[in-house]
Amino acid sequence: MTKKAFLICMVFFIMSVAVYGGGFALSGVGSKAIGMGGAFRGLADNWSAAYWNPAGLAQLSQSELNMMAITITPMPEYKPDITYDGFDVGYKNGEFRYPKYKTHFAPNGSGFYKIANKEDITFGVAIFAPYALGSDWDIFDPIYNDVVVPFPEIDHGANLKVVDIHPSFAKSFMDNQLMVGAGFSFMRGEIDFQKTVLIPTSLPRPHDNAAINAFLHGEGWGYGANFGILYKLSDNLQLGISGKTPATLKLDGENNSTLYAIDNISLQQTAIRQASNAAELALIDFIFSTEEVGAPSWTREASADLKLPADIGLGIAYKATEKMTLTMDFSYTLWSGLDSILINLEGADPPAYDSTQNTSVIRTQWEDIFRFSAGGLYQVFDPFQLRFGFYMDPSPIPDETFSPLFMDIGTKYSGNIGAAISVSGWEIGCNFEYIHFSEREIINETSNSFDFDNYPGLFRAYLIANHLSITYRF
Amino acid sequence: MKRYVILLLMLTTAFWSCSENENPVEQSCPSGKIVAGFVYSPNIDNNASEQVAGRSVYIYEPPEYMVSDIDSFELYIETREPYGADSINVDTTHIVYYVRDSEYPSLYLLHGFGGNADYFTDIYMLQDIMDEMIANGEIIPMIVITPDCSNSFGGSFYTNSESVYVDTLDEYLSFTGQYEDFIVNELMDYMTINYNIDTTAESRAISGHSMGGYGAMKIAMKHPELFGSVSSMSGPLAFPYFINTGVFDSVFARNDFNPSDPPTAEDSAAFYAIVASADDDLTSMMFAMGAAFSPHDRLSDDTTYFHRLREVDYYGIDLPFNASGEIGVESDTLVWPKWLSNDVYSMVAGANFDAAFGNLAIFFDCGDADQLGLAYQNQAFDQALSTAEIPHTYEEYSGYSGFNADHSAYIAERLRVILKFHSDQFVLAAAE
Repeated sequence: MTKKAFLICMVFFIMSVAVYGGGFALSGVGSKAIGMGGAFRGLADNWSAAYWNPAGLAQLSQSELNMMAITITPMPEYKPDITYDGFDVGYKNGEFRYPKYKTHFAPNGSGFYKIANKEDITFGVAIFAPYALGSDWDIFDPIYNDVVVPFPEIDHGANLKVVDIHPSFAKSFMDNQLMVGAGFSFMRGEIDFQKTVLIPTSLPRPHDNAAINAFLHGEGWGYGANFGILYKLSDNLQLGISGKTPATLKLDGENNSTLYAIDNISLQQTAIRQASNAAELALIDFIFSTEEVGAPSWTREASADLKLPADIGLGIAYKATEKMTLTMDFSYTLWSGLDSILINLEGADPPAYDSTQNTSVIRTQWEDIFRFSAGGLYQVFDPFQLRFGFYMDPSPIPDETFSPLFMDIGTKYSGNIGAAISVSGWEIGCNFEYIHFSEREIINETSNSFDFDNYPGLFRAYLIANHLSITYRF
Repeated sequence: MKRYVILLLMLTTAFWSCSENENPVEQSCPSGKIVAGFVYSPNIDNNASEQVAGRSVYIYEPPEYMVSDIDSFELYIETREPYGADSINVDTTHIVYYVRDSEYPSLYLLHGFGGNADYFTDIYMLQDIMDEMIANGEIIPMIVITPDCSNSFGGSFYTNSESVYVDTLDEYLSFTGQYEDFIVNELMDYMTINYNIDTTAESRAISGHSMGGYGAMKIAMKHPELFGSVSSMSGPLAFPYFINTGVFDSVFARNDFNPSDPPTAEDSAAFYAIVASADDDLTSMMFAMGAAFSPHDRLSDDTTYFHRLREVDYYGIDLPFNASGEIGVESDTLVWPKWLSNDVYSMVAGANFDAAFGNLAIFFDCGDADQLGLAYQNQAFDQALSTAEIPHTYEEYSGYSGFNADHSAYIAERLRVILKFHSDQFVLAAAE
């Protein structure tokens, strides 16, 4: 492969980063760093330092181009147990449900440049997907079987993709003993939410609630920064501190709602006879929208701010032998900034269903979490390197707001093993990651309405991810 | 170099994926069916208010029930080939008649005021509930009969209505028809003739909602020899409590009738202006009860309780209150006593009780937020049965927050309860 052809492929690959990022939340960036369990803040010696600790970029000895592909296969399971004060409202309780099967593909890439005669400075840009999740569930069907058109198979889901275009800069001081770096995040986010909303009808059960399938789409930009310091305590010991600022994705889009109307003439006539005012009659007209209309849909413009968390972390790298390096990371992520997602709505609901609400809130109330990582690498032969790592990462989501939309079920235990070969300026690396989630059982619902804040039931999950990276140094 | 490549290949085999998990296939229950029938009722035909005598009836047949008409045997014709040189060289035809051996228990399920034969099938998903409960083994297969006992007043109250004089015929006719007799005679005969049902009392049950619950209880009390069990969902089972639970007051208020004693001319005008209307179920129900229990004697010009229904002579009904708003408990009129003579609570608790429940298994329930105050009536009936030492079960149930257990809200759930009750009684009876 000529250098030119390689560069063309690289550019194409990097541009494709916006195609998809999935899973629930990505483990990190870089085959090597993830292979070491994400314990990389104290080592940070390749392009993914742009994500973990930008100061480490100063360690790059050559300019380099990188591309990386991740496949992520989350395998969550959910056995719903959702009732309202003990009454069935349509959720498929009692059996494990599985989201629509997906293997997500998340490419990353970067290019960093060393200026000739300025070996203490590195700058460049990385593109990666720091946040992503995706699941589509079939967990609900109206209890009544007389809807005008069939209820959709997929009724709950969340798909979030955030791509960070991340120019970074690093400089070393004190004869490479101290390095500092910073990066800027230009993040493009896209989010889809789908859930069932039940609206009271005043009709006898099981028609006491009509099902609305609500779909929210938004996309937009957000900005942030990260920074880092790397200090060589000795020839064998290196200490890194890094963090990133909070960021807010400003999302604009639309909220589409579809009512799955009841097709039951006897019930409609009974309801009309018992209606006591014009408002009730209008609601009955709405609930029993006719076959000619099909499933009535309406759209409102929507906007929301999605708060992304700040974090700070400390990493240590220790070169135990000529061939073996061990690392350890502690990080603290301030997810508590995501207390809710406020959705502003413009435009009108149908008159009979006019909630007169111009806002809708997804309650989150997430909590700060502390993550521990440990890893290492072993130079088996000169060009061949083995990598291994582990991390423990709790879920920031409390029981009170946990739902299958955000499937970060519980504490994640991740095991990684990887390898790399370096030949003539090229490095090819791969990594296998298995994440086990601790099981979570939600006993009590916490909402006071049918727009559930949390989803009772039993949740289990594991996840498999594969990483492949190619680096060219010149 | 070769060994490095092999090592790398070994590692890349770690690029595993996961096998796909499938959502459990939603099992559909074996499906029974709802069959529409039609019964002509001479007992309803002879009435003074032109109620139709042809009655729809919806019948739930459980999944295993093969033949809905006992006259329609299945016919199989089998043609056999000759099987040997010595055999008769002709085809043999076999006609096979299948007659089911098992006889099914039956439940007569009576609709509420304002409803008709499709009340349980269309609104409360009777077939889905039956199919599911049978498939789950919660109940045994049974045939459920839901007849139309509506009339032009909104509901018959399953009563043989009082007779009134019809001058064009010069005879007395039942005002709206004889619905109790329709149930226990023509409808049961129709089912016996057309369905393979067990006709013993132990395998027959009766139930209903609201007006139907009342009708079931009254018919079972008056004909205990016909049924093994009876149940009522939110039935008006103690009429005296219409008075002190504000039901009559609600009728007054809905009709702008604010009586004073002695009544003024305005009171009288308002009293006589009280009329049943499509958008006032409560007043309509009172008129339907009046039509069933106390139609006006057309030979009487006493208008103390009279509400004219047509602009001809004294065609109408008597309601149990006068222009002063007085309920005729202590008056010399027969209106209120006529109502009480049809009241199951009074039949049990008072001197009028000359029927017995016999060995009937009795179950009744009511929502704790019944807007007609029927929880009080059911509590009173519960107490009356306890006082009379008649075994029974009464359940008062609650709803969920924001959706009270009112008169009709939870009937789909309660239907499951009463179906289980009757099924258990059928099983008990069969075991004895």
